Amino acid sequence: MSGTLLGRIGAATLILFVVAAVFAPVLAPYDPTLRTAQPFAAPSFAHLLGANDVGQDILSELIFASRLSLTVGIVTACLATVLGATVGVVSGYLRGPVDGVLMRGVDVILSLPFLPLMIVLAAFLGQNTTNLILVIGLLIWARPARLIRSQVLSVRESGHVQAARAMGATHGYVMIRHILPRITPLVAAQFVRTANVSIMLEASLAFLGLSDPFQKSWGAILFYANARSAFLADAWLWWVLPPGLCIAAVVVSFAFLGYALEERVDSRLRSILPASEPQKDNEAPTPVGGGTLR
Amino acid sequence: MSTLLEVRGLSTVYHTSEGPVRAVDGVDLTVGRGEILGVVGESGSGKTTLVMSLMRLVKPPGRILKGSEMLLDGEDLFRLPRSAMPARRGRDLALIPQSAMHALNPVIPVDRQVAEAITAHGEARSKAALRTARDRLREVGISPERCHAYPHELSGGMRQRCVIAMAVANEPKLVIADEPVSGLDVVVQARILRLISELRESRGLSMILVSHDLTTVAKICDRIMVMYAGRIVEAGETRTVFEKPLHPYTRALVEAIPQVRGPRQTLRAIPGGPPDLNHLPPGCNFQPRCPAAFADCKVVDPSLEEAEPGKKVACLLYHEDERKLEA
Amino acid sequence: MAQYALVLLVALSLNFAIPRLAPGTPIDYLVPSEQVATITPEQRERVLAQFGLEKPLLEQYWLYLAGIVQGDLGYSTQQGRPVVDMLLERLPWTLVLVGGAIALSLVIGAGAGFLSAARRGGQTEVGGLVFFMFLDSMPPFWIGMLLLVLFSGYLQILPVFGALPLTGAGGGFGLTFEVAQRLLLPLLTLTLVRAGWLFLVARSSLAGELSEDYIVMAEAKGLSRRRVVGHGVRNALLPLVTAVAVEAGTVVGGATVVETVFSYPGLGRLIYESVLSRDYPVLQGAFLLLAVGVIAANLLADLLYPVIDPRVRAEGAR
Repeated sequence: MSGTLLGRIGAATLILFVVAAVFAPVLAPYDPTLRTAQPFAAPSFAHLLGANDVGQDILSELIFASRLSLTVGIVTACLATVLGATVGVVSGYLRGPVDGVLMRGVDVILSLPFLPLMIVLAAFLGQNTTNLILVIGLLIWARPARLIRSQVLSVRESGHVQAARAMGATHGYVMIRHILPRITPLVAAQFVRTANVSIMLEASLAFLGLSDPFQKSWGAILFYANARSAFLADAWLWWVLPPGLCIAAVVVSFAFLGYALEERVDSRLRSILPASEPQKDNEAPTPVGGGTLR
Repeated sequence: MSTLLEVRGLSTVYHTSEGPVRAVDGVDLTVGRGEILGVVGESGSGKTTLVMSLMRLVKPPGRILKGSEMLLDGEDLFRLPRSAMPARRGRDLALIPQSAMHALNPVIPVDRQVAEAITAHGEARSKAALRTARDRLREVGISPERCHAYPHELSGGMRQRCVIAMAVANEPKLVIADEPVSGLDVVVQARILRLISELRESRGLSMILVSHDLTTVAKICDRIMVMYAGRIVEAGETRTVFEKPLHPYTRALVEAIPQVRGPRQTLRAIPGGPPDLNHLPPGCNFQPRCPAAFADCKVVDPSLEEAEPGKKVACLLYHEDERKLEA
Repeated sequence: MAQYALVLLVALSLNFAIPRLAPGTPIDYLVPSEQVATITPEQRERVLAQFGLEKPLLEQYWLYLAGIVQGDLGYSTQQGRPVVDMLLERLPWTLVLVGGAIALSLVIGAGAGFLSAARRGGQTEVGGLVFFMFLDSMPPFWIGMLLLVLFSGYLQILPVFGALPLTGAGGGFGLTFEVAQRLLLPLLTLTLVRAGWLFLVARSSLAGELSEDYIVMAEAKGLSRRRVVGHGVRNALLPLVTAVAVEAGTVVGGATVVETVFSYPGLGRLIYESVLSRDYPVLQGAFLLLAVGVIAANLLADLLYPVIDPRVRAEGAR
C-alpha cells in the first residue's frame, strides 16, 4: 500500500473529526453538561451511547470532547514545532558553541521521563487547559529540534545558501529566506508527529485526572469511566470503547499523514542525490510510527 | 581449452515507473576453463546488472527474461528452482562484489565470515571450517594474527583480500569479479591483480572480471568484451582489442588511456554520457556520441557479427551487408 | 557520563524549583491539603522552620541536595511516613513490570518487525505495518481497560485487583502465584503498546541493513535466506538497543497509566494516588526515582553498545 493512500485516509479522517468539532453544537443532540437521562442509562434511541454516572449524554460528550482534544493537540503541536524549528534552524545554521549548548539542552530534555515530569508540573501548576498545553509543548519540542537541526546542517552546505552568505546576506535573512523554505516539508512532517504525540499525552494526563475539571476531553471521559469502574458492567461498550476509538482514530490518522509526508520528504531528498544504480534497492529505511512518547 | 560457461541471449529488465528498461540486452558470452574474460564498460552500461544476473541475485523490480540461458558445465542454472541457488552460489559460482570495502559484515571477525562460506557448503564442524578459513586467508596474504580482526580494523587492500579468500574458499568453478580493485590506491590495485593472477595459476581459476577500467582488464584477461547500453559491442582477444580496436567506442576508450611512453598526445575524452535506457536513440545506441556516424547509423541497429577471425563487433562500419540490406 | 550527571542535576533542580515557582507558597505543598486553609500562623512558622524554608535559597538548595544524598526525600503529607520507604516498597513492582514489558515487547515486536522486513513486499507485510501502526496509536490505558473487560468481565479468568495486600496464602508458591496474577494484565498491556512501536523501529532498521553490500556478499557465499537475514539482524540490533534506551522514559510513562488502570501497586500507581490526594513530596520523590531509572537505562545501553558493535569498542579504546 502506498504512503499516498495512507496519507489520504489519514487526512480524510482528520477532516471528519475537525468538522465534528467545529459543528459540535449543531451535531450534538444534547448539552453534555446537563443531566438529560438516568445515570448509567443504557443506549436507546434518545441516547445512542447511553449516559454516564450523572446522566449526561455520552454521544454529546464525545462530540464536544473532540474540540478540546483536537485543540490541545494542534495548539501544542504549533508551539512545539515553532520552538523546535527555531532551535533546530539556529543551532544547525550557527553551529559552534550555540549549537553545543542548545543540543546539550535537547539531550537533557530527551532523557527525562516525560509523562511523570508532566504529571508533577501539572499537579503543581494547577489544572487548566492552558497549563496543560504549556507543559506538553515545552517538553516535546526537543525531538523535532534535533531532527530539523541535522537537516539544516546539510542544507546550509548547499550552493545557493553558500552563495547568499558570500554575497553578505545577514544570518537572519539567510535562515528565513533560504534555509526555512528548504526544510518546510520536514517541519510539516514533524508538526504532524508532534500533534500525534500531544493528543496522546493530553489523553494520558486527562486520564490521570489532571485536566481541567470543567472541560472534558476524550481522556477525561475515560478518567470518569475508569473511576466509576465502567468496564465491569456492560457500560464499557458505550462508555469506554468510543472515546478510546476516537483517540486511536485521530492518532493513527496523524501517523498515516506523517508517514505519507515523510515518504515525500524522502523522495525529495533522493531526487537531489545523484541517480543510483538501478539494481539498488531504493527503499529507504524510513522510520515510521505513530504515538511514541507517551 | 574446453568451455566452462556458455551464456546465450541473457536479458535483464527493470520495471520502472517509465516502463521496462533493458539493463542487459541479449548478451552472449563464453568462458573457457582456466580463462579470464574481461568485461569493460562505463558506469551505467549494465555491467553490474550482468554480474548480478549471472549470480541470479537480481532483485525486484529487476527480472531475468525468459529465454535467457546460462550453461555451466552444460547445466542451465536459470532453469533451476530458486531454492536450489544458495547451494550453487559460493560453490559453482562465486562473487567478488563491487565495493568490496562494504562487502564484509562489520560486526563479525573476518575468519568467521570466511568459515561461514565453508560451513554453508558441507563442512559441518565449525572448528575445521575455521582452520580452513585461516589457511585461505594466509593464501591471500592475511597473516594469522590478523585473522580475528574485524573489518574496520583492516585496510582497504586487506579487506579486499579477505573478500577474495571468501570467494575462492570453496574452490568455485567460476569466479565473477565486479570492479575488484576500484576504490583502492594504485599500488594496492597492482598487488590485488597480481594476487588474482597467482590464484589463477595455482588453482586454475576461471573468471569473469568486470571493470570500467580498460587497463585493469588488459593486465590479466585473456579476452575482452566491451559493453555499451546493456549490449556487447566488441569482443576479441585482449591484444587485438587493445592494439586494433574496431568499434568507435572501443577506440575512444583506448585513446582515453594516458600513455607514459611514446610521443606526447592530448588525452581524448568521449563526448557526452551513457544513454538514458528509458529513451534509447534510434538506430545504433552509440550513434549520438560517435565521431564516425553516418546517416544509416540512425536507422539500423547493428548486431554483433564477426568482423575478422576471432573478433566480433557491432558497428555498421564493418557490416557491408547490413548496410546494403537497408538500402 | 557527564551527560548523565547533567540530566540528574537538572532533574534534581527541577524538583527543587517546581514547588518554589508554582503558584502559592511551598507551605501549600507540605501540609495535608485539607489543612491548608485552616493552618494557624504559629503552625505555619513551625513548618517553615522544620523544612528550613526561611533560610536563603542557595542554602536551601544545598540542604536539599545533602538530604537526597543521605536518602532523605521528606515525608508524606498524607501518611506521615518517609517518602523513601514508600518508594522502595513500590519500586520492585515497577521494575518487574517495566523490565518484563521491555523484554517481552522486544521479543514480540522486534521479532515481528524483523520478519516483516525480511519478507517485505508481501501482503502480510502491509497488513503487519498497518496493524502495528494501529497498536502504536492506541492509548495504553484504554488497551488496559479493554483487557480488563475481556479477562475479568467476560472470561472471569482473573480477578480485579484493588490495592489489596498480598496474602501469601500457600507459602512461597502462593505468593508467587498472586504476584504473577497481578502482573499478567499490566504486563500484557504494556507489552502490546511497546511492541507496536518496536515493530516499526525493527522493521525499518532491518530493511535498511538488508540493502547493504555485505548482504549481497552473504547471499553470494551461498548462505540460506535465513542466515543472510541473520547477518542483517546482527547489525540491526544496535539501533534497536539505542531506541529502547532512548525510549525508556516512555515505557515508564506508559507504566504509570497502565498501573493506574489495574491498581497495580507500583510507582505509577503511587504517582496517581499522590496526585489525587495532593501528596506533593511523594509525587516529587517518585518522579525523581523514575528519572534516575531512566538515566540508568541509558547508561546501561551505553555499556551494551561495545558488546554488540566492535566498531564502538574500537572508538572507546581510542
